[in-house]
Amino acid sequence: MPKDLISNKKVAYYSGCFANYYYPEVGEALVKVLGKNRIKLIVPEQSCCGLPMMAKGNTRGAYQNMEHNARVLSQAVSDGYAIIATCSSCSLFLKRDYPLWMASNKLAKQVSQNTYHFSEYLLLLHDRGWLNTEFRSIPQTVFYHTPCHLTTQESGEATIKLLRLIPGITISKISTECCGMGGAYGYEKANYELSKEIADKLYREIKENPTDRIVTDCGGCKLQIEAGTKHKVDHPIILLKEAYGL
Amino acid sequence: MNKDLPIWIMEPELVQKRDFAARKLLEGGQKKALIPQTPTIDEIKQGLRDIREYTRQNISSLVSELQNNLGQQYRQLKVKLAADNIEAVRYISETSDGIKLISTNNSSTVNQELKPGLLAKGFRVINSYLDEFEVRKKEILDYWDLPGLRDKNLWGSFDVSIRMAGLAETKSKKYLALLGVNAISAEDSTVFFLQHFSNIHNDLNQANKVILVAGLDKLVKSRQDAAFQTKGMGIFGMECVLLGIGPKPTKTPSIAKLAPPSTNKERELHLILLDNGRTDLARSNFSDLFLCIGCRVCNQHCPIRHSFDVDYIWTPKNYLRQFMYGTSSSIDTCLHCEACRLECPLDIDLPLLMWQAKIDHVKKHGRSFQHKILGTPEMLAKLGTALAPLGNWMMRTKLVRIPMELVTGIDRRTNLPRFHSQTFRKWFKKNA
Repeated sequence: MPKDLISNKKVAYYSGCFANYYYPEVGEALVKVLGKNRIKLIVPEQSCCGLPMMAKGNTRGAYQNMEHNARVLSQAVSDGYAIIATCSSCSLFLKRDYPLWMASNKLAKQVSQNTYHFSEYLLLLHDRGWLNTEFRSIPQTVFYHTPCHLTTQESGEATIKLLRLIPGITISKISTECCGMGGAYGYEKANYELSKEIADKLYREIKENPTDRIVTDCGGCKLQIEAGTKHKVDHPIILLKEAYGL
Repeated sequence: MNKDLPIWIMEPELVQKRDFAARKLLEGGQKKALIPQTPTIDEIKQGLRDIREYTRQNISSLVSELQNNLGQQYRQLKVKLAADNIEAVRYISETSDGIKLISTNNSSTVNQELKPGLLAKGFRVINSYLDEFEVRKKEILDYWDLPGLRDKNLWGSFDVSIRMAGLAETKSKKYLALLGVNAISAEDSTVFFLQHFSNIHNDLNQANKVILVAGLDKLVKSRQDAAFQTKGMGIFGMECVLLGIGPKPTKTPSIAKLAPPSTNKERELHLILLDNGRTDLARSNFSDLFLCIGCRVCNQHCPIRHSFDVDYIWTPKNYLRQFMYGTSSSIDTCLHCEACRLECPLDIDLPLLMWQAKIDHVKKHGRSFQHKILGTPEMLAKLGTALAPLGNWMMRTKLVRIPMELVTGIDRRTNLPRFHSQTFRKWFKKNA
């Protein structure tokens, strides 16, 4: 049985590339939300999880990164920290793919067993009565888009459950429609048209279900939705930060 | 040599069971009318896994057992073990005796592996499954319109409804039926078909020559296993059938109209056992593909399923197989959303196998220059961060985007994310 790290209230944040380079507000919000819950937070020295590298055939680079991250993050686990990620693709890759690609690497298994998507982690805290639920009301409707890489995790509905803890929020539409972005996939000239064709279904859903906010956990989905609908898309941690009045 | 090959057809049919239950009820009251309890979806999955795992481990002995049975028992049947599709097409061609009209069922084995070769040899090939549609308007547009049949567990509704012994000596039509089977029992040679309409039964009854095609992966140990596998294909693939039902394509005329009556009174039954890479597959790193029962549920939620203009049911599994065969040059259209993995009743990890195939390909052929650039996302992000905010402005000018498209392959129309001169981790170091 893996050691239960939830009760330690110590978190090693794997920000991944998107929160670090493109959407730092997510990382900043997480720091504040965890602060509200008196969780100790560290940000280990980390590299890209390897998923986008693998997608473009950079196997060597992906392995280097995976081995580095496995080393650094497993050290954090040994020191009693649970690993959390705000990007659903990163959390999936750390959880599922690390032990598959590095079958003989015990550290990868340790990382996999102790990685949580941020909402999954906060819900586990809530289950034990340790989540600060002194939320102020956000009387808004939300269109929530579940990224494919969160749907495939066992905790696929964690973010929805977490958002429902915030008073006033009505999740009026949940979509599991693929956005067609797939990391850099939708950027490539070869895939651009198909990517938009796939996204069209999601765009239609958004148009037919107008809400105050559009929320998703994935940076790629956010960019694709914003490009196609001209609506701002928020990461759920931003709503949580607002609910704490931060 | 006095028997004929048992050919059993399974259908989604409740009438027989209802009649059976009613009869028992009348005969002996409610206790006798009780129908055995339906297994759960998890039990069905485990049953399928056990069957497929046995086949994967014992493929060679199953082939020998089946060949031995087939050679000794059936007077009507001619058997051909074809090493590959070329050999199978040659056999069909030699067997055809000048008949140029072929009717097929909706089998992937037939339509993907054999049909191209038959067309090249001048045969006219018609998928008679499509001829059964009497639909004016497509009501089920995509998976969100589906009724969630898996949750309803249709196990009890599928059953064997037709049991044939070889081909009946009836008046036939001058065409050749090429039918991919769903399962075949090595123990007693029973052939199983899953039929949603009536095309397979029609072809078995009226084609002058019938050639059954069994990919070696369709072999299972016993008749019981073959029935279980076929039923499994039925329940997990039911919604894929619904997705495929639409107005009849005009390009497929009916075989019944095209085929004249045959003057040849003797009907012929052939069975091709098709290897075409399957034995090697069972021993390779991709042997999990051998567990596939062909239900096509992996197609259901695949976001790219509409993007292939083919005249058979496209599935991600066959997309990978074609890439491995070399009949498709890329698997880069896969988004790696992993929906297929979630759907597969055999838990085949298709996304992982797609990665593996890609890695093998890159090892042999290298990567494009554009993928070399895009394969280093963090380096690009660091470069963008160093150049922000000037970089952000530059990324929005055509002067930069057009040459950038040529070099990196990033489409000039995309909205790139904005870089920040202060990354999160820099901020954290300063503030935490």
